[in-house]
Amino acid sequence: MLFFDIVIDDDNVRKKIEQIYNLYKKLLFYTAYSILKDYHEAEDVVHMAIIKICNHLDKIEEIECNKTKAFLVILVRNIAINVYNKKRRITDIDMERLTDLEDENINPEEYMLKVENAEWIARKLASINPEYADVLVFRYTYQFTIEEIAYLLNTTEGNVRVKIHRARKVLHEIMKGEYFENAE
Amino acid sequence: MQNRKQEKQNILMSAFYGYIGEHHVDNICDEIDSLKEEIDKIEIPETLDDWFDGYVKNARKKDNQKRINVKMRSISSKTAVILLVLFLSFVTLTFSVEAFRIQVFNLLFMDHDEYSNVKIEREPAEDKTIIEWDHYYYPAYIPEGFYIESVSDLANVRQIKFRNSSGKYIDFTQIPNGTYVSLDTEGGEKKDVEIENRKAVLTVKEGKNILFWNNEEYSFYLTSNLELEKLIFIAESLEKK
Repeated sequence: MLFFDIVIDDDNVRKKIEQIYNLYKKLLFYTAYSILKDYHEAEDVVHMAIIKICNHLDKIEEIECNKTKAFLVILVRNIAINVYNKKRRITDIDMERLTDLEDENINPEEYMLKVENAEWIARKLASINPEYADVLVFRYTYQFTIEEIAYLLNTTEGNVRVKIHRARKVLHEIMKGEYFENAE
Repeated sequence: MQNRKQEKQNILMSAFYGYIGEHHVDNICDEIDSLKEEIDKIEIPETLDDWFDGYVKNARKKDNQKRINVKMRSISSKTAVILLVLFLSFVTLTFSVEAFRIQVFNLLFMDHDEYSNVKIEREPAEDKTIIEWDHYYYPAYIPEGFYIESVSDLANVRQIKFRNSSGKYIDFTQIPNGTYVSLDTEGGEKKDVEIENRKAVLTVKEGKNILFWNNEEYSFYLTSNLELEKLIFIAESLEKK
């Protein structure tokens, strides 16, 4: 069993975390278990996720909504993947390649901002690498800072930067049409 | 200009990434919905619920402790302020009101006096001189704390002077019957008392008691600032040495 410092300060916060836990505990456990295939490890991942959620409860405005549900799934999924990788000694990101971080200049007009294709682009990105899609969502949809994402996903800020950079790169490639031949 | 344009493009792209993210969120939710039955079927280990209950309980306990600490801190700071105000009032009164100052000093002196007394009572008084006479009377009872300060024997008038540290004295004089002695009893209040069924005369003058009596051989005088009862005890305890 894991023990962490507790940051639940008042009754309202406690009620909120209790509501979240009761509503989503099965989903959290299912997500972790589907990756790790181990009850104890899945349980530990849910513990970690709950503690991390407690530290960022202010980001959850509405409990029963798609945004919260997806946030919890992304969180548990990424913690579970980290645990899985660590257990099997798979390095998360090749740190030597961190220097390759300069963003190329992006011209939105060039891609004509294929708004109508956004759903397909998101699906494509997730199919190429779900972690890229997840980190992109945390950064640009949930507006977390790099530091917050590193804490939530149990990784370093350097890793988060690399993942965001790569996610954008893959996105640009998708939008340039490099993947359009596979479009549904 | 180029930087400004790039900045605007970055804002636009960030918004677009966010928009793509919104679709990723929806896609995740669609996937969850498609797995709903499977998710509902999964058995949650009881230990997970136990952990969560403990976690929340522990948080509540820590929260209460935190509240108590905050309250205690607030109370202790208020108490400190009250004590400071009391102390300052005390100091101000001591230095500005004479009657109060006298009371304070009296209190301090009394304390000192009691301390001295305790110290003296612990150590038995020691006589400063020794009696080397033959055939004399000596009181078997002398109140505690008294010691022989001096003895004198002038023309058959034998006197033993007892003293204690708080200024009390007992002067015991014995004279063979028939010897003339003058006593300073003028203006004193006289009354008859009894010592071992013998008549005795008590003179009270200027805060001292003078007791005079005699037996077949001697006449005795006790002069003291002790109370009469103690003088009678002393007088009745005479023993011949």
